[in-house]
Amino acid sequence: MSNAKRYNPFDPKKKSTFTSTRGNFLYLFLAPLFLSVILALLARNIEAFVLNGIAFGLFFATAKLNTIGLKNEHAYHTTLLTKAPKTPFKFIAGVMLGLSTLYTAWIAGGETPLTGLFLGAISTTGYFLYYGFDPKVDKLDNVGDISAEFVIQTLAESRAKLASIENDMSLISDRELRGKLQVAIDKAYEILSNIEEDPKDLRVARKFIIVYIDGIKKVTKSYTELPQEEIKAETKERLSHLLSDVEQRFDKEILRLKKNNQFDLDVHIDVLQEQIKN
Amino acid sequence: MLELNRKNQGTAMQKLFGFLFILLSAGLTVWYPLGKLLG
Repeated sequence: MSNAKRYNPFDPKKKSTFTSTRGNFLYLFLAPLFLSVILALLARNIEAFVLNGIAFGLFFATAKLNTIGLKNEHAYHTTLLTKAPKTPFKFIAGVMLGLSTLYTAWIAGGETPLTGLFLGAISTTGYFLYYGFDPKVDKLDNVGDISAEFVIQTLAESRAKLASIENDMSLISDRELRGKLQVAIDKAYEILSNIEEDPKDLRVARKFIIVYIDGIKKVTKSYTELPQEEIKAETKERLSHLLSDVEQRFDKEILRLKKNNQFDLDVHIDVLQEQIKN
Repeated sequence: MLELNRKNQGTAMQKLFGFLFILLSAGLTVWYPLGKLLG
C-alpha cells in the first residue's frame, strides 16, 4: 500500500496561512515614525519627540510580538506532537496594533479621538483577517496511556542533548570520529522522530533515551575537554569501536520500533478478525 | 474541485482585505506625526 497521504490544503489542524515568520511587514511602519522622531529632535521639539518616540515604541513592540506569534505558530505547525502556544502572542499583537494606531492618530498625530478609534478598529480587524488567530488545539493525538506532557518534555530534553553533542562535535578534529558520531546522532534523531509519530514507543525506547544519549553526551564532552595532542591513538581506537557499537545498537532500536509498529498492526488485524467472526 | 477553488479564493480575498485594512489604517496613521511636524 502506498504511504502517500491525501492532500488537503484546507485542513485547519495541519495547515496555516502563515507557516513561517515571513510576511511580517509591520516593521515597515517604523520608518516614517523613526523619521518623525529624528525631525522632532532636529527641531528641538521635546513634546513631539516624546510623543513620536512612544508611537515608535508601540509599533516596534507590536511588530516584535507579531514575530514571536508567527514563530510560535510555525513551530506548532512543523511539530507532530505539541501543545498550543500558552501565550496568545498573535492576539496580543492584533490588539496592540489597534492601540498603537489609536495612540499615533489621536495623541501623536493630532487627529480626533473618533478618527483614532475608527482607524484602530480597522487595523485590528485587518490584522486578524490577514494573520489569523493563534493555534488553540493541542496536538496530542495517539499518546495512549502515557502522559502527553511527559512525552513532549522527554523529546525536547533528548533533542537538546543531541544538539549539545553536535555542538561539542565541532571541536573534534578527527574526521573519522566526527563522521561516526554524526551517523549515530542522525540515527538518534530518527528514533526520536519515530517516538514522536507513535508516543507509545517511548516505553520501549526508554532505555535508549536515558542511557545511550546521556552516555554519548558524557563521552563527547570528556573527549573535547582533553587537549587533542594528549589523546592516545589507543583511546581514539576505543572510541571509534564504541561508536560503531552505538551505531549498531541504534539500528537495532530502530528495527525494534518498527517491529513494535508491526506488532500493533497484527493486534489490530486480530481484533478486527475476531469482531468479524462474531 | 470547484469547492476547493471557492475556499481558496475565500482565503485569498480575506487576506487581501486584511492587508488593505492594515495598510489603509495603520499604514497611513504612521505618517500623521511626520505630517504634523512638517505643518
